[in-house]
Amino acid sequence: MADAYLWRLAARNALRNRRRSFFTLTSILLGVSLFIVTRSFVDGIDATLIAIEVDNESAHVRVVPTDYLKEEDYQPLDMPFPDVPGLSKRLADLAPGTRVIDRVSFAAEVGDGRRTLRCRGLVVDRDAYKAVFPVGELPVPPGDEPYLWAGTGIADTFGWKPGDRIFLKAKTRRGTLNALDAVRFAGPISTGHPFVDNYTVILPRHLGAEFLDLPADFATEVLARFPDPALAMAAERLVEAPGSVLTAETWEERTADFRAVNQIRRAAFNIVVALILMMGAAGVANTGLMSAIERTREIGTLMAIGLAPARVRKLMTIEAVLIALVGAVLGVLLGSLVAHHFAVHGLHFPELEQAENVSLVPPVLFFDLSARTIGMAAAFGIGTALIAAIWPAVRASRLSPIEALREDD
Amino acid sequence: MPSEPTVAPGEAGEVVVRLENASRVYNPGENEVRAMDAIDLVIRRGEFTALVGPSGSGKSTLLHCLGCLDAPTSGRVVIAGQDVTAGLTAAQRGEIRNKSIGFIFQSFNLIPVLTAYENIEFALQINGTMNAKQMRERVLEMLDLLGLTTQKDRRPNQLSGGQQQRVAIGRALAKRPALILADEPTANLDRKTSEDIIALMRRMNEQLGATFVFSTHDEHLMGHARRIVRLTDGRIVSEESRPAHG
Repeated sequence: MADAYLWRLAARNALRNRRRSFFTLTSILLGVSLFIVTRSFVDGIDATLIAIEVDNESAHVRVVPTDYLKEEDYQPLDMPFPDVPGLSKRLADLAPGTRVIDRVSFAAEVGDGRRTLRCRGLVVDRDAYKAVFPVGELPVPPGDEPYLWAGTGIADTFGWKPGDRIFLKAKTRRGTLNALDAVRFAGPISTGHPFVDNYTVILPRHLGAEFLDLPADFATEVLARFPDPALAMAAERLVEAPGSVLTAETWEERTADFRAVNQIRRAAFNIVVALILMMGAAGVANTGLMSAIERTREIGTLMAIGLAPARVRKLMTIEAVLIALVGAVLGVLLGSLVAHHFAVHGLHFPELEQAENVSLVPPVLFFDLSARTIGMAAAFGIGTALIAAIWPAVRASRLSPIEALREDD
Repeated sequence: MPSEPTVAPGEAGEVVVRLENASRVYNPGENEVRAMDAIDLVIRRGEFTALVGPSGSGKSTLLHCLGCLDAPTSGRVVIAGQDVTAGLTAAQRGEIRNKSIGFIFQSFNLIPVLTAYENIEFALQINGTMNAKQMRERVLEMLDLLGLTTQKDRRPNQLSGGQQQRVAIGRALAKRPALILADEPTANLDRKTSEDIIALMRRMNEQLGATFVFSTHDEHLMGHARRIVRLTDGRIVSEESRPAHG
């Protein structure tokens, strides 16, 4: 290493006033570890909420008739969706491994005879649905009786067990009311998506088509999941070609609101981290200045025996960087340890588990610890120290050796 | 085993430093202090010169100008053939000190976190003209010459004052500079240790051909010098040369 002797001297000098170095190191450690923890926390919110939305509700792209968006709250079944099979094929052709599903969303009411609950009903092809969404087995009960699956929240509300008979009511495509009073509960769906778990029931295609009087190949929405999430943009361009009556919502658009809120959260955390790192910077500058003042005579000696001013600057800077480096390494270890713990075990917010929709913080948040975050934290820690070290280092290098040697005379 | 002592390059008698009508004035104006007044002085290679005079006579100022730590306000200083009177940056002055001059200080001024070995080695590392093997050989040679081989791993606070000054001499000599300047090198030492240190400097002068200029106001130590330059009020008032020992 070039100037290895300066590194050796700097390392020993850093150990000279251990208490002062320790406090400086600790502030860098805190700043770096806090940066990792808070950023992993916010990135975890992003990643978890995106995963919940993509994995359980809207996949990477959701296509609906443009007019449907205005009426979506009422979940109409009379909105035409042209050429569902053709669109599904075009989406599937975007990349090998793409999985596509069409489904029908409708306003439903379920109950146990005494109580009823308004909810969303979905009509899906079971196998296709399982291929797009990791919802588990979706067990099929024996016999020919009609059946449905319901989110765990609904099942828990009514105390349903697989095989129980339940009540289902909905408006058909023709606008007439239809009801089934002995639909078997086939099993719960547990996804982590509050809307799916608490407000959704799923009917298999053959039962739903008959119950709602749906024509063949009818759908209210088509969803696609790509091997690469970035393909959602290509799908959007494909769907929204000039003259199209369809609209595509990408996963980025579907999650834009909470990601925007997260940006605010990230900025707030960054301010806290910046304040701590500024304390660290003040510590580094103070350590450097005190060191330069206490060692004026020594620096003068070094310059007298030929150490160039640039090397004096380098020596003083290395001292600060070494302290920051140790602080940054320990900070990375501590921050990574904490973030990794929550990345594996998650941070639980039980009060959010009954939320109606994807909230701004998921009920179980898994931190997202990335190499980029670790690299940024270390770079900020060391960079801050480097900047803070400049002033004392320049001050030391500008000492006149003759004046410095007169110190303490 | 350390190699044989290396003699500094250059011919005996060649001019190492020349001061021509050099003056150093502090606070020019009403309260000016003329620390050095129209000094003409030539130091030749291999000399062992004592600058003698009472406090405030200008010994230290003269040493600083000889060592490129300070510059005269008028006159001219030439070190190893290079005019260093004015116009040099701090870095250029540092480079001249690095290549041509060794310093020995009254308070030893060793780096407290480095061992005796490392203190000597550090000067060579700054000098930057030797590889690691050459440096090691040179440091061991110096430690041997100074009688410090067994103390090489001790830090300054584990050495006596005399031993510290020996290390400082080793640090100044290791790079074989054209000139070694010692400012009151024995002022913080007892009589016997002072004698030992001056004798050691003299031995280095004879064995290595090193050129020494040292300041002192100890009449007893002047007896070791081959040339005595007396100063009073910043002026050279007398010069005296003595025959070499042995």
